[in-house]
Amino acid sequence: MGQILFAFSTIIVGVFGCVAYFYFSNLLLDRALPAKGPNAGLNINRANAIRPWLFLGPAIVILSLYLVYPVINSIWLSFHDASAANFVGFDNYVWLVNDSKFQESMLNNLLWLIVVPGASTLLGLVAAQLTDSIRWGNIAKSLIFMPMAVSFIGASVIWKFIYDYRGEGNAEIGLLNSIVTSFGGSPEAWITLGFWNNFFLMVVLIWIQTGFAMVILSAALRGIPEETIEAAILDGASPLQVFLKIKVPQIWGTIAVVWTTITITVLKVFDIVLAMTNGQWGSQVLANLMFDWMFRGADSGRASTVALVIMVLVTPIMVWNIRNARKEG
Amino acid sequence: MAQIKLTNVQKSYLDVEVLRNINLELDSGEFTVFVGPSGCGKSTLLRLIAGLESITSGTLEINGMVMNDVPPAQRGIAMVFQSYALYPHMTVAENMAFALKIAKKSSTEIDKAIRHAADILQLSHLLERLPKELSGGQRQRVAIGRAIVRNPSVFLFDEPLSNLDAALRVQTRLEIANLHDSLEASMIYVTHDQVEAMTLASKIVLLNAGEAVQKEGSIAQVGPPLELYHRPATRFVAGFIGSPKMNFIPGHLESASANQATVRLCNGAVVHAAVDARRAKKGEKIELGIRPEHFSSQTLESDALPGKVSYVERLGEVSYTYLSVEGHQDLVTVRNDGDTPHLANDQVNLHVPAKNSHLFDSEGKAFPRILGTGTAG
Amino acid sequence: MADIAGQKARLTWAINISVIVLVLLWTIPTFGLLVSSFRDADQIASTGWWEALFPTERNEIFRAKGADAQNLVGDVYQIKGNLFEGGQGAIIAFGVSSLKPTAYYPGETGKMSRDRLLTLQANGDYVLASPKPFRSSRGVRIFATVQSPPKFTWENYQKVLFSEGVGRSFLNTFTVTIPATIIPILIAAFAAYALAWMQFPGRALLIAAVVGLLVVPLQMALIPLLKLHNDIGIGKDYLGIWLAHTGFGLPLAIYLLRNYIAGLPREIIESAKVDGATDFDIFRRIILPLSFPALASFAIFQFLWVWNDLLVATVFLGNNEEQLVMTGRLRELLGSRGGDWEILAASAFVSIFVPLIVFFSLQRFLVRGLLAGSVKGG
Repeated sequence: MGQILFAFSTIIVGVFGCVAYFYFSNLLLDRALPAKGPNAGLNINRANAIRPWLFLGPAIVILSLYLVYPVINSIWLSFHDASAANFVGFDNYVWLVNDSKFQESMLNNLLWLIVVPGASTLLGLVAAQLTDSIRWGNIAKSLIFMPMAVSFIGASVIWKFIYDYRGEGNAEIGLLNSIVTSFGGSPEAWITLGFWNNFFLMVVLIWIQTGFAMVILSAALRGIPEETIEAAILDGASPLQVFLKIKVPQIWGTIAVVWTTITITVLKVFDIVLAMTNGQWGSQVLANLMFDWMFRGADSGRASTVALVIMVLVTPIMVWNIRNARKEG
Repeated sequence: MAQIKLTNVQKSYLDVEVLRNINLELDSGEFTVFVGPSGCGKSTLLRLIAGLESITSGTLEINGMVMNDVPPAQRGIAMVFQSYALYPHMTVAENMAFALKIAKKSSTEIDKAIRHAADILQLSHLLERLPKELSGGQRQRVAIGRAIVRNPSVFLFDEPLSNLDAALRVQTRLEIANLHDSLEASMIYVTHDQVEAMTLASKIVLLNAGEAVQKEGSIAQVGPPLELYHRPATRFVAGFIGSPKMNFIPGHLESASANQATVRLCNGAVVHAAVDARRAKKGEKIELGIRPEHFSSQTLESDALPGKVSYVERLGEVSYTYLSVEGHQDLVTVRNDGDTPHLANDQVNLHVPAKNSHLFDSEGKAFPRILGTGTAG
Repeated sequence: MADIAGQKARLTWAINISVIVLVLLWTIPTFGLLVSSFRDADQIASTGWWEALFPTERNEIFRAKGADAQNLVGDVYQIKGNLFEGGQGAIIAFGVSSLKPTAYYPGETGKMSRDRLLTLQANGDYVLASPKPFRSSRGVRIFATVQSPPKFTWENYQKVLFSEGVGRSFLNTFTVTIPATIIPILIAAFAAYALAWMQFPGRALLIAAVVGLLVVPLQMALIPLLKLHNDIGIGKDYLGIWLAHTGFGLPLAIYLLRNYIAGLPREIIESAKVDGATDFDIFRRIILPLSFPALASFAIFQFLWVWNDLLVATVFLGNNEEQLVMTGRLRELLGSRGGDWEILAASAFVSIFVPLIVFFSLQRFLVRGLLAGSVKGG
């Protein structure tokens, strides 16, 4: 009971404090510069000049403190040693390039980048087209979309159970091993298989992201002018031809946005690797490497350097993505 | 005393000048219509008066007070927007009450004002509805009601009928005219539709667009509707007012006296016009203007314009004959009776009555017309 | 497309079947864990969850009652009883020796040594008959193949909620999530309105800055912010994580809400200005109600994101009992109880239960939000 009370009061204080700021700051402004009396016009104009900053104040403060400052600070940290005390020049960058774990992470991230966005988008596109053309499509959609609501860590638990390995002599309770054995194969500890384990981790992310791709692409497919499809049917195109030659070309822009959005997610993927393998057995990725150096390695210089690498990789994709999304409007 | 007075008003966005050299006096109780082609800045002019845009230079006075820096709510105006701008999440009553609530009026006062407005506009049975549950015409009336409850000294209308269908537009136009009579308030109304301008206005302000703005300022002509029809100051005004639009046929001035000018048209025909063209030189390039409805059906040898019928549009009550005239690119439009005998490829000789002709110099300025009694607005 | 004449029925079938396969692929993993969370530990470890849904067959050894339970009926000594003793199950076959454990079907009578006869019914009732009295107090062994119905239990949930600390984490997650959802929305809504409709110098620059900040990966912010929090004395506490989530959520929130609010009809806002409303009035009475769909969809996003977040919580909240959130708890359990699937499964479901409810009840808004701003980097 005590916990609930504490949680409840903390929530109230947090939320109410925020509401109070906006309410009272505006009230104060209206009191200080009332829209009445001889100076009404002047007061209103003055209040109008001040008010935007009341509205924007908290956002500007928090954004500078929580995003702008860290970027600057990370750059600074990346030129310093583990304890951030001594300037070390480009040592961290040199170390990074030569570090075998970093090389492994870059390669793995590359692998993820090749497989996950493509697979998710493709599956999402197929799912969108298929579910749009059947009566119970909406139910199917929300079931395929559902993993979006599950945390990466929850998804990892779900899939780790599928990949579960009991070893010789025990009944296999993991679905994958059980299927393998029922076809006469021998069970494996899938997530410890060097190189291939990457793919088993990727499946988790594909499973989560396909729903996202499907929802967006489905809306795009439905936004295609009906007349172009009808014209193609009158021209004698088969359903597959209509899909590939009429529909897909018209939604290239959206496909690109979906693709890049998933790409950015992939670059930041962390929870899945942490929960499934923690980067062992050759499955390390950048975000988890950074986390490792930050907490287990306690080296803010190296961790910041890895974080900067992630940002440098994300930026061009994000810029392109925002531009593209704007054009799509 | 003029209720609204604009002196040398100018409006620019960055370095683009959209309104220039506006001097205007609008009297209390007048129904003023701003009209002009799209892009002429007529809505911007209205928004300057409303205070939704700031004036770049010049002064705006309302009831004798300079209003340049006064916020909209303090100007004693109310505005009806093109899209009506009803608050979609509020009922009709709440929509009308909003301004009064902001002004912290008592609830009995608000109630009274809403009832009054609802009675005038026959909205009483709709007060609890949301805007989305109303028809276009009803929404329009709520928008007007919202203006009425504020009891403004000036009503501003920004193309309020453009979202209605044709039949409703005619009906609402009449209602607005009635409202003007019964409220005895000043109204300023923006439209691109000259029929609305002609029927509603006691004063039309016709605005220039394009290059003319630099040359002449934004205002092309100000005056009562029929004055603009009968005495257009420029070729632009003459062409804008009237439908189908006036024909302009190029030619040269042969001779000019105090009450008549002789013109040789591009195809060699010689016609007369009842204008004082003495300020122009002999042989100067001019244009003859004549409205399609002003050709005479008589066939006379003098003052005749020969041409070949290109095609005929028969609308029932009237028909329009389009003539091609030698030496002139555009077709000349002639309004005839519905059962005109003209057929395509007929050669015709149209009489151009001197009293109905307009004459414009090469700059587009009209020569003053000599009008008999009863024809001038 | 559905109405076009002459469409092939075969195609429709193929599509339906493909979708069924897709849906199964996408739901089975979750379903498997859900089923497992209701099974007891021994069962999870001995059979796959897919077998839990069907009756299981097991060979078991029972022991009949001892000599104390015998009655003399006529000239035969009988022991009557039921193998399941109130439990559930069905006998499929039985035997009287370990060499032939399935020699007889239920209802038949098996011959034992010393002229004893055993009759066993499918429901477990047995009659043991002997011409001579039973001596041993230990009953004879009965071998039977038993089919037992699926068996489910709430025990795992009771266990994780009350003794594994998951219940506490559940509350902690709420304490983190609710303010971390509402605060950024409020702040973003005000900022978005200012950026969309208010006139002030530097507006375009600020909009560009917000868009620019969308690219900052939150990993980057962790080290500097943790230091900052420690320096200014917030340390690892709820205030810190609310602010952190607010900061990380703001760029997207402002970007999305500004797009939405800027798309509201200009005339409505001007009309309110003519009506004498200040910007604060307009925001409260016009913008907030009209932006409800956008606010709701962002709220769902932020809620799911914060609820499901592991990284920010790990860094900005302590690892102790008072502050550990669901995702952190789950990760801890994965480490410490990696093989105890009954604990993991139940915990996982406690953690995804709330997001799933939110997801299924508010999917409409979620989809709308996704479509409005498909630029979130996660």
